[in-house]
Amino acid sequence: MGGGISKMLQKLFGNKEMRILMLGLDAAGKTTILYKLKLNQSVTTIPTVGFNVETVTYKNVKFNVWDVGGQDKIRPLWRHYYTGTQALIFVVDSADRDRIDEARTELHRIVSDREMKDCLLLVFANKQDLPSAMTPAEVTEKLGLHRMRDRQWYVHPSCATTGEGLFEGLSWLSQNIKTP
Amino acid sequence: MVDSIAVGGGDGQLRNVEYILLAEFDIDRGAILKHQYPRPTGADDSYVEKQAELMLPDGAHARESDWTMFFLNQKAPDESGKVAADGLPLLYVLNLVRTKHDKEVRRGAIVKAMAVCTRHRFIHIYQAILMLALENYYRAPTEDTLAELYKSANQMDLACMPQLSRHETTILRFSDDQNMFEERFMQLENERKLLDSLVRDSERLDLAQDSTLAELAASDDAGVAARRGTVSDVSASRMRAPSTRNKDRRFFDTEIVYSGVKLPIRVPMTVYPEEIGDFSLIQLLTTFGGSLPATSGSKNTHPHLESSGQYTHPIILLMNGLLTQKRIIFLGHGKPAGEVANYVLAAVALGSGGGGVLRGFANRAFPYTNLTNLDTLLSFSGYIAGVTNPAFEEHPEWWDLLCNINTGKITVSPALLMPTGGGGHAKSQTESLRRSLDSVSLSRNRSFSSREGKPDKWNNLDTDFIQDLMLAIERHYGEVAIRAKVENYVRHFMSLVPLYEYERDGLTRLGDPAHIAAAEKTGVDGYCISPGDKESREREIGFYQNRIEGFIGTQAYDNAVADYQSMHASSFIRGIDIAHMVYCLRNSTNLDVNEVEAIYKHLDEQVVTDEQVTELLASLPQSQGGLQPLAYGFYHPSLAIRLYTVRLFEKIEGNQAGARYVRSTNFFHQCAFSNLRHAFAC
Repeated sequence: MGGGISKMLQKLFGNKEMRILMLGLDAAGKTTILYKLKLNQSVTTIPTVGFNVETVTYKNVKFNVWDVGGQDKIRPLWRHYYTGTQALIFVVDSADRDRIDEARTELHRIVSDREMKDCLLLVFANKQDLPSAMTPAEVTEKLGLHRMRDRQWYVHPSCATTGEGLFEGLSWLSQNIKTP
Repeated sequence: MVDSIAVGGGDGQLRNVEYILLAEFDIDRGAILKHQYPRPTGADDSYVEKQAELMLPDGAHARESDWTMFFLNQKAPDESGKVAADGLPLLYVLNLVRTKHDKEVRRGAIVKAMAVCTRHRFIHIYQAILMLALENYYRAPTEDTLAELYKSANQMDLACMPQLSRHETTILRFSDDQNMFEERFMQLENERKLLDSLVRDSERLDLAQDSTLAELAASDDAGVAARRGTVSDVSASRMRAPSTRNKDRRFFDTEIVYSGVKLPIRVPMTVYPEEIGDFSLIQLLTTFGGSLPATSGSKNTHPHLESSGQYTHPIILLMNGLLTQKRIIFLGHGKPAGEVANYVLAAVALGSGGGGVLRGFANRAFPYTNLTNLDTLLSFSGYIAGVTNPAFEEHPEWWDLLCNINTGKITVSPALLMPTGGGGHAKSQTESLRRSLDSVSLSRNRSFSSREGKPDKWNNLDTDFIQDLMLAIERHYGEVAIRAKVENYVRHFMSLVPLYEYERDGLTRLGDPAHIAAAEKTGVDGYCISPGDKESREREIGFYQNRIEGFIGTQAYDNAVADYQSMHASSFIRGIDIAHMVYCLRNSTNLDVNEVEAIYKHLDEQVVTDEQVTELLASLPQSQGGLQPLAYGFYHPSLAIRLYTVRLFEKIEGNQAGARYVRSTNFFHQCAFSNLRHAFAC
């Protein structure tokens, strides 16, 4: 009975589902973000072997978040996760100025894939708590986002360990999700 | 010298373990293969990287430890879909991965994996030593740790393990008597003791022993037969071995000494060619047997797979997929890779008939695999693979059947194409085939029209099998019994394939056409006894037609053809179809006297030598009553039949295993045997 009512409510108020792929260079903070969103607590993470996938519900939207390991050698595998992806969360270590170019190359490679042509792009300029962190504007500039014309993108500052900025990012996604 | 004997068989050629691999997850670079000991496995560079990925399974960071399995030297099919028969032997790889959290190191954890590559199908015996060795490697991360493991594993002494032939393996596998081949064990143990004492003597006396030893070593390779006589003579008189009664001879007990620790090892003696590792077929059957048939809705049913339309039992669906060489994925999201691997190994045993009827499933099995290995996987026209990554589920173009371990559901890929271009075409083909068969007046009353999705009366052919299987599981039958049921089922299927081929094309490479033609006649010869079965056989061929067509041309089919040829050349009993005769004695109710007499006469004439007796015994497994079907001949009204039976039993009694068979028949049969023997002797 209760299940029936909640189903009805879900129908009334929308029961959106969204498949999200979270990518980024190794040690950018993807897994920490995932579990902060999922459990609302900061877990100590270790390098991901393979992938993690979790479902996070926020504002009536069920986010199916795939977090894939970021080491250089396994990046070619990312493309296998593209099918059906509605949004890409690209996580950047804002304090890692040495590798921001590498991040830009990878990002542009991902979004140029045919299967990713319609997906939203959310960039988390992560690790804002570190003193030398680049500002969101700087990250936008370094990633060459202004050159992306046909895509909805959004850069948001975040700090995965405290959770600052994460749900704002999800809000943007839930507002911009295209209803099929 | 002593060392070389210890390392398997004397010439040191067959090692227990071929390679030790070590991989670790480098936090900057990902999975890397750090060591290959004693030398690289010979795989090309791209595969070396994949090996490291397979050793560090998806989700390894989320659990303390996990096991994975994969194989080396698998042969991908060429353009024509054929697999080369020669080449390096398949190596089985057992891998242990462990994640250790360590606050001191960057990013908080170290992930390492160690693997042994061996020809031994019973790879699970290396589990304990691998756990110790990986622990040691964490303490001393050098190649020396691998070297020590390699040395210890290869010093495991299997020299006293009797090499059982295929028939002997079958006899022991289904035997109630765990001492079935006691004598073989004793003989080898005595030889070993004699050799040891010779070595000791010669050392003590400090003779110029080199020549003697060299001689012995040479005879170890060459003059085995000649030496056996003398050794057992000596051992009988001089060396009374300590009692080894009550040892379970279905296992060979040995040990591995590794860094001062003695690890007891039990090597199973009854492993069939396609049984790898320590899997549970029962688990596979219960996981997938319980789910309701997946109703595929409006979609056309695939004739190879959904043999009874949308009501096809999931286990039959899986069996069809295995036999027709489809691409099969076992997905266990969130499960340990080791658990998923066991499902794959169980599926290999399912398709190959308990591991003992068909070959070629292991060559296309990937017990654990992941996205890095996708290219290899897709280069196989059919594979059986275990994955933990749900991304596979979203790519139906990669597989034909997906078995979801978490839900117990088997899904047919919506992307799977109908064989030979669409169902309509296939149907018209069957129609024309039916007409052509009718014209040869072989086929009557075949119903092809019943594939529209309703359960039909032919359905019960598989339903009986499934019910029997599930009931046996419910009653807690063991693995061996369940595998035997699967073996019988696949063996029965294989007996239909040559008949179908012969009907369709007038020739077959899986049987002798002359014998099949003879089977059409009534009468008795070595191949056909009762024509009464013919009708049901034709019904079965009609039912399995699609599966047979899907099976023809697969790797397993090609291997079966090769095996038929070599078996034909190497079998000891010629001129009669022993399995069929036993089947008749066991199951037929309407045999007339002449037919029964013919069977016993053929058996008595053809079964003479020790090897022939062994072959006969292999088709009379003790778990199915042993000599019982033959023993009824003692009570037959016909004198000739009684005489044949006694003569046959006398020959059986002369065989080491046969004597145990005779002893284990019931008291009345034994009485009848001794009375009749006495009567005929007078």
